[in-house]
Parts: sequence; C-alpha cells; structure tokens
Amino acid sequence: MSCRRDLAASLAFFAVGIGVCVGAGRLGFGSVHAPEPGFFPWLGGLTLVGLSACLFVQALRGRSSVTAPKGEWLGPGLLLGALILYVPCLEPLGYPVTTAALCVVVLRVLKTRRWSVTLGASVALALSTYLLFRRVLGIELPPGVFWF
Amino acid sequence: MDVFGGLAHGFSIALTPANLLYAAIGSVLGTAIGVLPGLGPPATIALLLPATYKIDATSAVIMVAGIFYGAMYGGSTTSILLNIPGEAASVVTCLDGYQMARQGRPGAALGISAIGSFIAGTFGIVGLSLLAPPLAAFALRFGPAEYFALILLGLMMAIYLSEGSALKGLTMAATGLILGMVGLDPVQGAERFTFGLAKLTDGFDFVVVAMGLFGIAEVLSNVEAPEMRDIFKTALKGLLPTREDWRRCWASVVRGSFLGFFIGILPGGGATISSFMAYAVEKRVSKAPERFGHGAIEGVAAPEAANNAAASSSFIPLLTLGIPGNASIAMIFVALMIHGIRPGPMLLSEHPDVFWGAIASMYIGNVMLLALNLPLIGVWVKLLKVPYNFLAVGVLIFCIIGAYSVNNSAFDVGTVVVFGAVGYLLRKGGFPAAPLVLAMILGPQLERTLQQSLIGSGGDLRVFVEGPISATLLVGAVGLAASPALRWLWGHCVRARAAKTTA
Repeated sequence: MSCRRDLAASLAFFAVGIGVCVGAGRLGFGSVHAPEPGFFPWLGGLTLVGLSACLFVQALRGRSSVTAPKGEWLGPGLLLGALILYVPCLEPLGYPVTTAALCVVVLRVLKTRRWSVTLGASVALALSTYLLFRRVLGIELPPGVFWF
Repeated sequence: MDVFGGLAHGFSIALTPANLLYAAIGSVLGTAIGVLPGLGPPATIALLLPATYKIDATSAVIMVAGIFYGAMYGGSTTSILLNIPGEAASVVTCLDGYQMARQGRPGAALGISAIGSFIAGTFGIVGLSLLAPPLAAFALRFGPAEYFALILLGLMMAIYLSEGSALKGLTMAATGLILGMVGLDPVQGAERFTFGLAKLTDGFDFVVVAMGLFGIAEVLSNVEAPEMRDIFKTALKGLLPTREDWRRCWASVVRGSFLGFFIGILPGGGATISSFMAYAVEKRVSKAPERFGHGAIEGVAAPEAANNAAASSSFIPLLTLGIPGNASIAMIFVALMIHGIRPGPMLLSEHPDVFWGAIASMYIGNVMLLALNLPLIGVWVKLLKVPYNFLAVGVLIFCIIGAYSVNNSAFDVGTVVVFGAVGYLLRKGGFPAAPLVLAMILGPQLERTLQQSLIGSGGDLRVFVEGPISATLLVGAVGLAASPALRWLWGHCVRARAAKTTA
C-alpha cells in the first residue's frame, strides 16, 4: 500500500517535472553566459524528473518511507468537497451564508452530536466572525445576500 | 552600535506599552497552541499573518516570534499530562514526563520543564545577541556566488535534517523551487507558468500557500484520526523542583542549552532534533540510564532546555544571513517581507529597530512565559477541554478570512483549498511540507544570485569555486545532496561483501 502511494506520487512528480521542462523550453533557456527566463525552471524541472525517477525505482523495489497510517477517507473527503463547493459560492452568496453552511458540514463530519448545537454554533460563528472582521478590523468580506 | 548599545536601544522599543502587549499576545497564543495538540506554530503564524498587515514591522515580528518560542514552552504540558506531544519538539518529553505524572509528580515535571526552558531560552537569547552582529558583519563580504552557495547549503541542510526520507525532502524542495518560479522572472521580468491568469503574475502568495499546507492540511489530517484526550487526573502541586531534583538535573539543563543552541543555528536543525539529541546525550552520560523512560527528571529537563535554546538560536541564520532554517522561522521571514523588510546582513544596519527590538522582546517574552506557565498551569489544562470540533472550525475560518484578505478575492480562497488538499496528500505520502515552503521562499533569491553570478563572470562556472567561502559552502551542499546516493552505494557494497563472505 505504502509503495503504491510512492509509485503514484513519483508518477505525479514526474509529470510535473516534464511539464515544467516543456514550459521552460517555450520560455527559452539562453546559455550559461546569458541565461534566459526558462533556464532556472528547466534546471528545476530536470531535477524533479530525476528525483521522481529515483522515487519510482525505490518504490518498485518495495522500499517506502511512508509512516502515515492508513486512515478513514470519508471525513477528509466530505470536508474537502465542502471546501471546494465553498469557493465558487463565497462571492455570490456572501460570507455569512456560505461560512455557516461550511461550519455545519465541518461540525457534523467531526461528529458533533446535537443538531441544535451544530446549527446554533455555525450561525453564531459565521455571523460573529463576519461582524468582527468586516466591521471592527475592516476586512472586506463579501456580504452577498446580507446588506450590512 | 555595539551589542550593549543595541540591546539598550532594543529594550527602549520592546518596553513600549504597545510592544509589551504584542509580546504578551504572542506568548499567550504560543503557549495555547503549544498546549493544544493538532495545531503547530507554522500554521498559527500563517493564520495570524494577515492580522499583522496593519501593525508596524517591529511589533509584527515581536508577536510572531512570541508565538514560536511560546509554543516550545506550552508543548511540554500535554506531553506530561496527556502523553500526547503538543508540539513535535515535545515528543521526547512524553517518555519521562508522563511517567513522572503517573508517579504523582506532574507538578515537578511541569516545574522543571518551565524553569529549564526559561534558563535555556535566556541562554539562547544571550548567544543570539552576542553572535548575530559579528556574523551579520561577516556576511556583508558575501557576493552573489557566496550567497548562491549559502542558500543551496541552507536548503540541503534543512532537507537533510528534516524528518523522513531525504529523497522525499529533496523532491519537496525541487517542487518548492518550481512553485517559487510562478510569476515574473526576477531578472528579466518575463511571465512564467501563469497560464494567462493575471492573479498569478505576482506568483503564489506565501501566506496563502502556508495556510493551506499547514492549516487546512492539519485539519484534514485530524479529521481522519481525531485525538482522544484523557487528561491525567491528579492534583497539580509542588511545581518548584526539590533540592534533590536540582542536584539531578542542573547539568542536564546546561548540556541541553548548549546542544540546543548549536543545533538551532543549523538550517533544518531546530527544536525537534535538538530535543531528541539532548535526550540521547543525557541517557548516555547518566550513571543510571535504566531510569530513563521510567520518570527520570533529567529526561524532561534536558530536551525541554534544548528545544527552547534551539528556538532562540534559530533566529541567528534568519536575522544575519536571511536564511530561514525551519517552517516557523520561514513564516517569520514572510512576516518581515510583508512589511518590505528583507532579512539578512543589511537588517542590522538598515532596520536596527526591528533587529534589536525583536531580540530585546525575546528576553521580555521569556520572563512573561515563565510567569504564564507556572502559576497559570491550571488554566492551560482547562484549555485542553475545548472540543477539537470548534478548534477545527476556527482554523478553517481563519484560513478562509486570511486568504481572502490578501487580495479581497475568492481566487486566493481557492488557492488555499488547493494547497490544503495537496498538503494533506503529501502528509499521507510521508512528504515533509517544510522543505517545500523553504525552497519556495528561497527559490527567487537562489535564481537571482545564480543569474547575477553567471552574468558577472561571463558564464564562467569557476566563479562558484574560486572564492574559499563559496567553494566550501558548495562542497558541503553537494556532499549533502549526494549523501542518500552515497549511503545507498555504501550499503550496496557492504551487502555485496557480506554475500561474498557467506558464499
């Protein structure tokens, strides 16, 4: 399992490294005498390709340094999904509404037992931070459907 | 300005009511996040960086530095009372601290931890005050080639000494260098890897990246495996160590202070490694090593002294060379950059207020922490009863508001979420985030100094090995970079020889 994770990671880094090398080529390498904007990215991309190849070989040989235990994916997945949905909704719906909805998801994912606590805390947190940061600290959080 | 004149100037700045308040806020917050498992100093500093936009640079550094060294104090509380380290630097304190608590001496363990931390922290700050000015003066002789070699060595040491696989650390550093290249080329101003997005012209904002990698990723990891907190229920009395305790551990505090100070100076050294090394040294020099792991007070005193001395001395490379040695110090680097101040050898001459003000505030903060930690230990223990649910929601809200406030744009909120997801996956794969952040911060400097050296020498690569300083630094960097391969080769040879002998 750990080696499979390393294999996947090495392939991802390899792809990034190749992409950077190709992008650097379009920018132009120049020469050692007169390096152009692509010179340093090309070095970085090439280094990443080399390192990911070493990682790939290490993973193929069954040697992995992964120490993180295999955990439950549902909670982080739900939370990440909520955060991804939060981003496009933030400006049209406004900070208070979207943040209250996000808090509900987070508190439920973290197994807050009572719905009354979840809903009350979510609304209170969203409104209090909105008022604190917008009104007191002057941070322009999007009001959305709120007029204040 | 000599050291004493500088310190007097620093105290005149640090003792103003506003700066005392910022030092107190930093110390309290640092202790709180040190006490609370699941939220580290880099994440907290990253979350609070947007709050420093409106205060002056000296006050901002005083506050964020307080968070960093305050966390070292607070981390021991959970180690001793819960057997859960509040900070990575307090992992080793669990071994004997929790055993002392089980044996009915949690007060003595907490007391020696706080007093040892105070002594070592003060020792570290004295060392910082004395060493930083001459080192900064020496660094003024550095040209682009020396700087290139120094940054490379700093990065390599940070990777080599960071936790986990060196190969994964190197991969993270290469990724950080690439992320640091997004935006305008530092020499010619050409756009790189912006994909036509105007918002990426200035590159990724360090604050947003750090909040994602340390803040959101930490919440996602904790959601996966929520911590069970079971506070050791016993009366917290006898916080002052007895004469017998002192007899046993004064030398441990001294050894821990020296060891921590010197390890802290090394990029990547930091508090965690120094605490482990101090514990190992104590066990080795002890006449009764079998007591370690069963409640030996030296096993609490030495690592706690070491991590505090290291926290102070890790400011030396930042303030004198402009090289952040670990993730927390990198966040302090970012705090200075936000205010238009570049840490390095010119900091002392160009911004003496920031340099000496920050150092003087550490003396004051250290005294504040001793006062906060011993009499208020009951308050910190109560803080552990805050449910993680609400802490997690708070961290997410701070990340979102912090990211949004950078440019008043949902794009940055999206960026923080993306880096949060990436940070979570990297943790799952055992890839350390610190080398990525350090490389991202140092990358533009590395590129600028490389290009300046090459252009200045007309493309002659000998520029990096002609000067004794750059040559030495470069040999060290290459040696460290090649060390995983050399170790593999050595192991291969040993195995081959053993196989031949058996045959």
